[in-house]
Amino acid sequence: MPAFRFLLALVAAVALHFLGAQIWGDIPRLFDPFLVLVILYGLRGDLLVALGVGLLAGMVTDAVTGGLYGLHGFADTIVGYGTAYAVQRLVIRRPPGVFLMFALAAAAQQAILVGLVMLLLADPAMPSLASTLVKVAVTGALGVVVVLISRSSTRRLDAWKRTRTSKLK
Amino acid sequence: MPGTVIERRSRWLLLILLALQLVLLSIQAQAPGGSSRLEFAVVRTVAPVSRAVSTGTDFVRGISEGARLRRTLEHENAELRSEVERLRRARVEAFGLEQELARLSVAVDYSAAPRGGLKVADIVHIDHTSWLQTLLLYVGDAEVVRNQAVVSANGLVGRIVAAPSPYAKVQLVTDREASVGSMVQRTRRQGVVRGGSPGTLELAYVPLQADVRVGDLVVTAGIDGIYPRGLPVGTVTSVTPGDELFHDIRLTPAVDFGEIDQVYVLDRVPVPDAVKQTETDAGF
Repeated sequence: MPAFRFLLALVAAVALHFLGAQIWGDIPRLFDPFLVLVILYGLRGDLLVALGVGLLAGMVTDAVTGGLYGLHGFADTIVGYGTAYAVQRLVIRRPPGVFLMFALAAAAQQAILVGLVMLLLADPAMPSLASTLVKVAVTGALGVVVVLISRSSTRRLDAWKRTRTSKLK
Repeated sequence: MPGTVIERRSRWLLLILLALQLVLLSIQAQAPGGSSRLEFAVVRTVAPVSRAVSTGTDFVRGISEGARLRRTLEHENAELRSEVERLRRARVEAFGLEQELARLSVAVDYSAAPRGGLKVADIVHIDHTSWLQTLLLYVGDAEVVRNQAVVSANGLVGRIVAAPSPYAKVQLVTDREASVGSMVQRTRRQGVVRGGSPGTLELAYVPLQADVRVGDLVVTAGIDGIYPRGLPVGTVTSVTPGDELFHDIRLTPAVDFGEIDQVYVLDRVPVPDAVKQTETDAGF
């Protein structure tokens, strides 16, 4: 079931990516739904899951974006693992902390990508600083929104389950 | 500690995965442009989602485009309906005015001069450049008489001065001997149009105090017993003070005689010379 849920989330991220590209061609440059997915799973603190999710989501990102195949796979694997590793040692509950986590993860992904292309390619095309900053900020803000919605829906689901159980008794 | 074991394992797994990916990347970097089977497989898996999204957005765009087109058509349709409504009202008003005019004409016992019909006649000869200013028409079996007006689509041409069937001879308005009772359309000021220098006209007997401007249209006044009222004769090209009490007014003919090959003879019967003579004798 968790695997199926992840696949659904991955399909949703792919759909969101294509939808963004259809609406405005520059949206994929400023917003990476796969990265949000990777960080969300990383926030659970499970290193192996974060690793797998990072790898798969990154590979799919590579399939839908240009450049060398595996760049995002490499970067997202590290980001997912790093997020889970950080969550095991830090308590991140409040929105500013969540924002910072997402923003730092996005910055780290960009840094890894830039480092990789500089290492592997002779004349690499670099993202502009402005678009990188926007991407970091958008990922941070979106992360906060997604986490808050997720927590709220979990609370409601738990409340509904409790009510249903008491009625059955 | 189990946590430490998992952490250690995952760290090794991370290193292995990263190493494998680095190898994959290095291979690609050495042979740029190539694609791996893994990439093909992932792309093939992801492509249906892209297609579904594309189909969905196309569908939504189609709906919005259709709605926009429909709004445009509705707007245009509403405008046309309003235009039709306006024209219908105008037609009804015009019909009412026509009826009212007819009633008033009856009330005041007004008899408008008969408008008459038209007979088409081919020009068989024209000489408008020399002093002769002659036009010969072939009228066939049509009955034409002296002094019938001859017009073209643009205005007055002249009058018939001889009708040896099946031909008719026309005196052009540009003839020095021709005289047409005319008026300035804008002010209704009357005068007499005569032939001027070749190809031009003069408007005579318009007093100096009369308002005549360059560009004014001069039409027949319907007072000479030959030409009906309102036929375009020419346009004022110059207005200068004359030697005596009248303006010296030059006109360009409404008709370009170099372009006509067919004319219309007005069926309106001119006032017989005998009647005109009687009026003069009676002291009118």
